Amino acid sequence: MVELFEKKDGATEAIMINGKTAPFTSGETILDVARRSGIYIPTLCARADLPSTGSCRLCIVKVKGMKGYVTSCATPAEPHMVVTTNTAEIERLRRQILELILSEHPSACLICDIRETCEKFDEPSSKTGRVTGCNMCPNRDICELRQLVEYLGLKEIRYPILYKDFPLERDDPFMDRDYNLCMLCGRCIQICQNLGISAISFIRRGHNTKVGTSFEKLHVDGDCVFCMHCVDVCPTGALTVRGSKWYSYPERETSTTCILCERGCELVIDAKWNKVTGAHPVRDMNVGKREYCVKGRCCLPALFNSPDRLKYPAIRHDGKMIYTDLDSAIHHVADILSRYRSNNIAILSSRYLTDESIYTLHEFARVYANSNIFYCVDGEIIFPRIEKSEEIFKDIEILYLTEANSFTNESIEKFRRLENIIIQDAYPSSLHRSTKVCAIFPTTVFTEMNGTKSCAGGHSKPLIKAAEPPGNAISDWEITARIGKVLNNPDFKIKDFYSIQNHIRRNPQIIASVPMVPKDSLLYRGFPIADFVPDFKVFIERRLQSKGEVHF
Amino acid sequence: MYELIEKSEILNVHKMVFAAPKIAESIEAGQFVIVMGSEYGERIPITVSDWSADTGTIALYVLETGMSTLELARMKVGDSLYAVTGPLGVPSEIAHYGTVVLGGGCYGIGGIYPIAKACKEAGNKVISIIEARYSFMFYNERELNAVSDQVLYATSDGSRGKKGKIEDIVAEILESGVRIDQAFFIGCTQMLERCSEATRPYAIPTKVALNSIMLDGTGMCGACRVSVGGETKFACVDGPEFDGHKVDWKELNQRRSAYTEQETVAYQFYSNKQRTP
Repeated sequence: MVELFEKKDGATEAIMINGKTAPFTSGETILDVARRSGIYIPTLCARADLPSTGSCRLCIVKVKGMKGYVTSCATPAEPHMVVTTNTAEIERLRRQILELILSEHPSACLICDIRETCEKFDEPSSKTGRVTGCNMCPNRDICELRQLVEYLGLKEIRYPILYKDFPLERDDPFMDRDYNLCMLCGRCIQICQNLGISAISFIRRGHNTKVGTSFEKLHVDGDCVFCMHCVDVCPTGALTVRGSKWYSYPERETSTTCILCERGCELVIDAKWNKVTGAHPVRDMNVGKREYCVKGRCCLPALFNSPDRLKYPAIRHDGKMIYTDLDSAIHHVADILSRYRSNNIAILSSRYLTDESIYTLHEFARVYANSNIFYCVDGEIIFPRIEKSEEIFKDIEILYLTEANSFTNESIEKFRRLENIIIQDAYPSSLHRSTKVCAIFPTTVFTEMNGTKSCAGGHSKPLIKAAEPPGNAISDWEITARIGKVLNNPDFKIKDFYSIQNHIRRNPQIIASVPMVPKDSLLYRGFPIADFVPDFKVFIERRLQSKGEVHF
Repeated sequence: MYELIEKSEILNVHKMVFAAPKIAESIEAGQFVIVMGSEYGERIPITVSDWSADTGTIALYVLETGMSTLELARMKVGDSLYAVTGPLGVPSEIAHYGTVVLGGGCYGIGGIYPIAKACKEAGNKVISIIEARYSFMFYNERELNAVSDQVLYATSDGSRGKKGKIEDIVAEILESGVRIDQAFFIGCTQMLERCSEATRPYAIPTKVALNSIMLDGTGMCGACRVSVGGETKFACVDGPEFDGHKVDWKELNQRRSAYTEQETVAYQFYSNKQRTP
């Protein structure tokens, strides 16, 4: 092992590419060396982070002394090799190879007389099932095949275009597959194997060869975990994420952290029209390990764009809930809270909140609610860090809930003296219809705010605002801080976002005491994700049927 | 009611034959129906391509182009539509013109059939021109041949007929000195515009079937309004056919993309109800 490293570090040996000397280390292919030296060789199948399969043949180069042309992705560099990558003859051969690939790909748009006007025109309206040309293809803006057509200057396809006529595969949750667009590069199979899942492989033979699962089962009934890394590496529009495929270019890409569980994966949120439209890995992802589960990769758009989201603050007035502005609602709540003794107030915090929001709630509880702050974890009540028990519930007259779905109209009955409920949440729960609710505050979700979140291993990860909240929703810490400010106790020291972060740094034990969200959680803020994401519901149901359990 | 009796797909265009006896009794060439896939579904205006009062059925060619047509495309024989309204719109003006050219692309290949049939019956010489991307995307050819004196083909890849578009063939016909007395075009907005431009220099009366966003289809809501010759018209009750040389295409395209955001977001909440193992 040591020897191997030494040899690699040595890198004394070199090959000659296009008259330029390029050093290499043992085991590297000609393509690896060329890429590192800034020499472009077109490929459709080879990726730097996947093993080479040599299936597309576009990376052919001339090596002096070797017969014919070799694929640079599959030929190891050897000392003193003289490589040419771009002669007229090579370009001609590449064009021919590409023509052959395109003859089995619905590519009429590439050679159509009115291509340019059509591309401008059709963007907003066509969302077809079967893709019969580029101007209907959801992948056209990032299609590697099209980029290569441009690069090689291909203007005509001399072969008749064949349509394989495979049926569309649209019965799986989240994913649409159209293998009529597939050019059999095998990247999806490679990455699936690399991640240790191996849900797909080449099936059938000859012209009917396609990518599929064993016995051509649905992916949801097989081993697929819907991490969608196959979609990320597909050079064509064959594999697409159904909910995100028609957005064309996002207006904004924001790198943030998924806080649906304790892992806290880094992911890039695409936004358009101020909405979350998709989530994907960072562009230079390391495909050696699986970064995402189906929750972070596929569920966020539907979960956060749900039409059910709470949008405007509401207060009870003459027995009826009415919408109002945020300031009135805050003063209304402060007015009610000031009428109760701190012993009679309790606060339900949520594990799904940001560190800032959780800290503000704890601070609020310390000053105004006799530290009566608790969490609801799988129906159990947890008091972090303080010696309290459900005994205190018998005196509680006012509840401040940030995860209202943890209680039902029945389970709330255990607060026998309860008079008022303040709800601060993103979605409506059954509790909203309770006559004890005196105010409802709509809050932002984690893609709509800045902040930090402590994840497994004590790592604090950043959250960056990627989309706009609906209506007048604002972040949890801001609502709590503003109520605290109106109540005007000098002991309540929260001023602004940065003061909270300073407090957290000085008192890390508060955040450390918050229970973590396990990775197999099916909830967000106490609500089942499946209630808002229909395909996730299908996913869970089918997994439970076929495997008896759901893991992420 | 409105049971799906027959269904087949030719690359994204779905032929769907529904039982709708009342509509089949009274519909005329050029008219359309509005269908609803489910109670909460969108109302979709679709040209009726064929009908039979005897069997009480209507045949529609549905192009899958969004969420609601996706739901239609995924229907199976035996399923039923929630509602069908029709016949709607003004029937095509059929007369003895002389030589009539009909142009159809996408769903328009099916759409021009009843007009071709009616024109043929009225004693016209009927030239049907149909376009597609590839030779294997044509459909309904036998029926169209039966009611046309001539069927001409245009393909983007040149695999059948002329490599090009309908307007190229129209231009060829006109340049060769053949007189065209009336033209009808059905297809996407872009194709309608291009074809209208091709007939304009020769001042050929040109009717185009517009596909603006439509709600009720009876002239109440005004969602389908289009500007034709500077006047506001409703595609549902004044159309769907208008003079192609007078249509404000830019406005039509703008209005057609008014709900792009909602149409796109809808896919996030889609779940196929007919999922089968």
